[in-house]
Amino acid sequence: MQLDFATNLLNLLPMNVLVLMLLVPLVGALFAYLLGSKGARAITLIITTLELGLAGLLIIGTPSLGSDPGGMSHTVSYMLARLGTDSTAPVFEIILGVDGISMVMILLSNLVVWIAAIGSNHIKESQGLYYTFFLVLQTGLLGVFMSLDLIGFFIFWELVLIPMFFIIGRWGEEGCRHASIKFFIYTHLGSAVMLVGFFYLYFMSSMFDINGVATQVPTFSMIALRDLGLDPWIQIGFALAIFMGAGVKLPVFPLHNWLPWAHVKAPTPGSVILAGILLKMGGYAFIRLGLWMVPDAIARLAIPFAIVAIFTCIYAAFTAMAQTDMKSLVAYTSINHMSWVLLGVAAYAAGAGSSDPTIQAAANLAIQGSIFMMFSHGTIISVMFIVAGQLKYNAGTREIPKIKGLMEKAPKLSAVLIIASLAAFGLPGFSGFIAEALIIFGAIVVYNWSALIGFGIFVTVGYMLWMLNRIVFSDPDAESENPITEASWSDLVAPILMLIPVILLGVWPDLVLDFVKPVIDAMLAGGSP
Amino acid sequence: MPHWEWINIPGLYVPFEMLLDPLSIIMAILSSTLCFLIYVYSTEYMAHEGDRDRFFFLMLAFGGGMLTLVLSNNLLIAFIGWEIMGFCSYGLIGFWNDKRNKPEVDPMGYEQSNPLLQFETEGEQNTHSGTKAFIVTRIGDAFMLGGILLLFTFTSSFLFVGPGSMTDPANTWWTDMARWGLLLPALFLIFAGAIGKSGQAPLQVWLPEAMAGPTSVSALIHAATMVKAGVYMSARFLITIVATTSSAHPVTEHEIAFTPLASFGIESAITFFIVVAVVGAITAFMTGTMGMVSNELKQVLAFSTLSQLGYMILAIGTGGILALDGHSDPALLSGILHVVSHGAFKALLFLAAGGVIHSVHTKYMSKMGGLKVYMKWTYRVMLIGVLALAGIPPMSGFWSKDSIIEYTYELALHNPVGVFLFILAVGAAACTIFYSIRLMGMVFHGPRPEHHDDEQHDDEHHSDPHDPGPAMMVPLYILAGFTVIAFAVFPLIQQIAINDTHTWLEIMTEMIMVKITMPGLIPFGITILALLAGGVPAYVIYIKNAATPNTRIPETGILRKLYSFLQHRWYINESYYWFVNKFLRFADLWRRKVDEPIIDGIDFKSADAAIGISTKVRWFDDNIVDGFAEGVSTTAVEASEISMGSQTGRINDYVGVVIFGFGLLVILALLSWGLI
Repeated sequence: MQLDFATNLLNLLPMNVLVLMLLVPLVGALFAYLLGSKGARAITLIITTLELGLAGLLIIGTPSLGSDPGGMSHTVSYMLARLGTDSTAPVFEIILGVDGISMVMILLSNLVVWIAAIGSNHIKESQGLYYTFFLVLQTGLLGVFMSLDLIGFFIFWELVLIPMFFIIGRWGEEGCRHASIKFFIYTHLGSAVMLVGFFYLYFMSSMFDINGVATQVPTFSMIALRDLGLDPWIQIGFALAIFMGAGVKLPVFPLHNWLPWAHVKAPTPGSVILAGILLKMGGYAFIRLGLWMVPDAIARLAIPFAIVAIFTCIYAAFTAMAQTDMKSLVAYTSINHMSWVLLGVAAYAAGAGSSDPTIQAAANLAIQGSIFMMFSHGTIISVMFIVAGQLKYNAGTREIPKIKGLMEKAPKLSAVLIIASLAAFGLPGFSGFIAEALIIFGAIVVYNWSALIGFGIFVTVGYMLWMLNRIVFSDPDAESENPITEASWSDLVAPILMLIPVILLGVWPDLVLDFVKPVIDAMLAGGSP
Repeated sequence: MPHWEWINIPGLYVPFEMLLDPLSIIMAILSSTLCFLIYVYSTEYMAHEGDRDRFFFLMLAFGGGMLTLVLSNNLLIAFIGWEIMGFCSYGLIGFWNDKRNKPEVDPMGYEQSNPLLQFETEGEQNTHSGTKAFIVTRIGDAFMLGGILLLFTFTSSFLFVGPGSMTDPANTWWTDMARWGLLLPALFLIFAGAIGKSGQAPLQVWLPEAMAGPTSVSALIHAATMVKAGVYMSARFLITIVATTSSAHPVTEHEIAFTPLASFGIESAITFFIVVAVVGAITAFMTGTMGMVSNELKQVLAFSTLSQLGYMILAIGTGGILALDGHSDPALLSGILHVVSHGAFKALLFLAAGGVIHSVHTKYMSKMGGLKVYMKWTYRVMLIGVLALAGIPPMSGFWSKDSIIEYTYELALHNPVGVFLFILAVGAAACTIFYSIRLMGMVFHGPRPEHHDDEQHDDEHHSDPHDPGPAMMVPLYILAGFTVIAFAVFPLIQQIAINDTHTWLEIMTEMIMVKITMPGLIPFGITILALLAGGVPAYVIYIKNAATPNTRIPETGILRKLYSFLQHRWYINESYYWFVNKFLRFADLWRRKVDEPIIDGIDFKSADAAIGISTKVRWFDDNIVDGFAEGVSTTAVEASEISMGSQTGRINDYVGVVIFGFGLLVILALLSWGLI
C-alpha cells in the first residue's frame, strides 16, 4: 500500500525521514529538560504526536519492499570509524533503513509511546527529567527498529535500557529500585551475550578458507551478513546468543522473572512502554536477526523454540491465575502472549525451507501471525496496564480480592477493562483473536503437537473471566476501606484511544498485514537482492 | 448495478448488490409507503408512552430490514434483512414488557391449564408473546439457513441475477441438484423459512399472540413487513426457478418432460409447488375458521391476515404449477396484487382498530359495541377495510382474491389437486366474510355495554369514546382512499409486474369482462354464493339482532364441540405448548439429575484443580525460578559482606598481612631452590 501524496510529502522533508524521526525526540528531550515541569508535558505530547504522524506518513508513503539492498527503503549510513588505514578496511557504521516489518513496528512504537505520554498525567514529580528520559527512550526504540547493522542495533538496544532503568527506579512505587536493578541486570546480561554473538559473527564473516586465510572484509551489516551464506553451525552459535538477548526481552521461561517485577513496580506509562514495545524488541530481534538474517540456524532450533514457547505460554497462564496484584496478572499475561510470537517464529523457521507449498503457506501464516500478535498485543496490553494502574487511583488498591463491584461504582472504567480483557483472551472481533488464529493455523500444519498451546488459551480465558468476576461483576463491599470512584475522562482518554486499533484490527487485519506480506513473501523466496 | 463488495475470497463472493426488478420494486414501494403512514400514525399513538426512542429505533430498523430483504440481489444479505426483522419483531411485540397490571381476562375465553401460559402481569405476557414470535420464526429460519447453504454448495453464488448467479444459464445448479435428488429438500428447507415468517401452517401459532405489542407494530408486521417477507421469498424463488429453467430450456418444455433423467426442467420442482399451494390453501381455510370465534379484536384481524397470507402463498404455488404450461405470470401477479391490496386494507384495519382500542380501553369485542355513534369516521374507514377484506366488489380485496380463486379453478379443470385447492379457497372466502361482519357487528352495532366493572371507574375521567386526532386519522383516510380506487391502480401494476404491453383501458376491460363472461363466470358465481353463505348468517346474527344477546350455540351438542374446537385453535397451539412443557420438564430433570451432580461437578472440580495448580506454579515461579536468581545475587552480596570484615582500615593489620605474605613467598622461594 503506497499513496503518492505521502511519498511526495516524505520527499519534501528536509532530511531523510528516518534520521528526522530519530532526531526529533532527542531535540525534544533537550527542550523538555530545559523547560522543566512547566512545559515538559506539553512538549512531549507535541513531539510524540508529531512522531506518530511521521510514522503514519512513513508507512503509507513507503513501499513494503523497497528498491534499496535487502528490500529496504530510505537507507542511510553514517560511518563511526574505520578499523584500518586503507579504504578496504572494515568499518563501524550505523545503517538505517526500513521495510514493511520495521515500519509496522515503528508505527506501533510511536502509537504506544503516544498513548503512554497521554497516560503520564499522574507523574507530578521532576517532570522535566521524566519526559527527557521518556523522549530519549523513544529515540532508542525507533533506532532498534531502523538499524540495519549490528553495531547500530546494539547501541540503540542499550540506549533503551538506560532511560527505562531510571524511569522504573525513580518514578516507580515502593520496591522499584530493586525492580529496576533486576531489570537492568537481566537485560544487560542478555545483551552482553548477544554482543559476544555479534562479534563472533563479525569475525566469522571474514569467511576463512581451509587454510585459515580471510577471504572477505568482515562486516557488521545485516544485509551483507545475510547474503554471505554463512555455515549453518556458525549461524547456530549466533542464534543461541540471540536467544539469550531476545529471549530475555520477549521473555521466555526461565529468563522472565525481571518482567513481573519491572512491570508491577514501574509507573503506569513505564509499564505500558515496557509491555507495549520493549517486549516487541525481543520478537523483532528474533525475526530480523534470526529469521531474516540467519534462517538456517533458527530452522535447526525450531523444535526447542516451539517447545519453550508452548511451555512458557501455559506456565505463564497458570502463574497469572494465581496472582493477586492486578498489574502482576497483566504482566504474566504479557509473557503468555509473547510466547505466541516465539511459536510463530519457530513454525516459520521450520516450514520456510520446506518444498511443500502447503507447509510454506502455513509458515507464511505463522509469521504474519507473529507480527500481528506483536502489534495487537502492544495495543491490548497498553489498555490493560493503564486500567490496572488506574485501579490504584480509583479503588485505592490493585489487589484483586480487595476490589469489589467495580461495575456498579465505576461503569466507564469497567467497560474499558471488560473490552480489554475480552480482547486479551482473543475474543473474535478483536485483534487478539486474529493473531492467535493466524499463528495456530500456521503452526499446527508445521508441528501438529503445537495445538497444545490451545490449552494456554483455555487457561487464559479462565483466569481473565475469573478476574472480571471478582473485580467487576461482584457485589460492592459497603464496609470496604477503599471506596471505589469513577475514573475521570482525562484518565480514560488514553485507553479509549488505544481501543480503536484493537477493534479496527479485529475486523480489518489486513490494515497491518498488507505491509508485512510482501516482505514475508520475499523472505520465503530466499530474500530479495 | 450499484454494488459494493462485502466478502470477496476465492469461492465466496458476497457483494452488496441491489436487485431492481418488478417484484422488488413493487414490494419496496408498498412496504415503504405503508411504513411511512404507520410511522406517522405512531407519532400520535405513542405520544404518551415512555421509551419512544427504543420504539422508533426498532420500528425504523424493521422497515430497513424489509427493504434490505426485498432490494437485495444476494440471498445472504437478504437473509440478514430477514433476521433484522425477526429481531425487531421480538423487540416490538414485547415492547410493553414492564406493564405491572394483571392481564385482561377474556370474558368469552377458557381456562389455560398449561403452566407455561400462566402470567402474573401483562408485561410477562407481552414478553412471552415476543419471545414466542421470535422462537417460532427462528425455527423456520434455521431450516431456511440450512436450505440456503445447501443451495449454495451447488450454485456457488448467492446472487439471484447477474453473471454467475442462479439464473445465469452457465450455472448448472438446477440440473446438478435435480440429479442428486437434493432439489426438493433445498427448496422445502427454504420454504420452511417462509412458513415461519408468513405464519403458514403449521407454524402459524405465533401471529395471533403477536398482538401484544402496540397497534402500529401489528400494522407494521401484518401489512408492510415481516409476514410479507415470506411471501416475497416464495415469489422470488418462483421467479428465479422459472427464469433458471426457461433459460436452460429455450425450446418448449413438454417434449423434454417425458424423457426423465435426460434433462431437468421446472417439472422437477412441481412437487414443491404443489406443497406450497396446499400449505397456502390449508392455512387460508384453517385460520379463517379460527377467526370466526375469536373475541379479541386484533386477534380476529390476525387470523384474517393468516388467512389472506394463505391466499398469497396459494397463488404462488398455483403459479408454480401453472408454470409447467408456461404461464406462471398471471397467477403470480394475482398473488402480488393481493399483497398490495392486503397491505393497504390490513394496515387500515389495524390502525383503525388501534383507535378503537385506544378509546375504549379493552381489547375484547364483547366489551365493545355500539361505537358507531361515537366514532363515526373510524366506523366508515373500517367498513371500507372490512368490505375489502371480505372481497366485496369493487374494493381492492375483491379483484385480487377473486383472481386467485379463478386460477385455482383453472387448475381444478385439469388437476385433482386443483379441486381441493379451489374448495378450500372458496371455503376460506365464506369464513372471511362471516368474521368480517361479526367484527363490525360486535364493535360498532348493538348497545353500548354498561360500565359494571369497578376498575372502569378509574377511567371515568375519560369521556365517551371519540375519533382519534388527525395524525392518526389522515393515514386512515389515505389507506381507505387507496382501497376504494385500487382497481384503477391494478392495471398499472400489471403493466409493471409482467411487462404487459396492453393499455390501461384494455386491461381494465379485461379485468371486468373475465368475471362476467364464460369460463370466469363459474368461479365468480361460486364465490358469490360462498359470500352469501357466510355473509347472510353473520348479518342476521350480529347486525340485525345485535341488540339481543347471542345464544345461537347451545351449551352442549355438536355445534358447541365445533365452537370449542375452533376456539382452541384446532388445538395446534396447545399441543405445541404441551410438548414444550414436557420437554422443559425433562430438561429440568436432566439438569437436576445429570448436569448438576456430574457435569457441573467435573467443572467445579477442574476449576478448583486449576486454581490449585496455579498456586503451586506461582510458588515455583516465585521461589525456585526467581529464587534462584535472587539467591545468586543474595549469596554474592553476602559473600562480599563477609569478605568486607577483612577491611579493617588499620595500617597495622595491612602491614602484618603484607609481612606474612612476604614471609610466605620467601619460604616458598627457599623451598623451590632446595635450600630448605
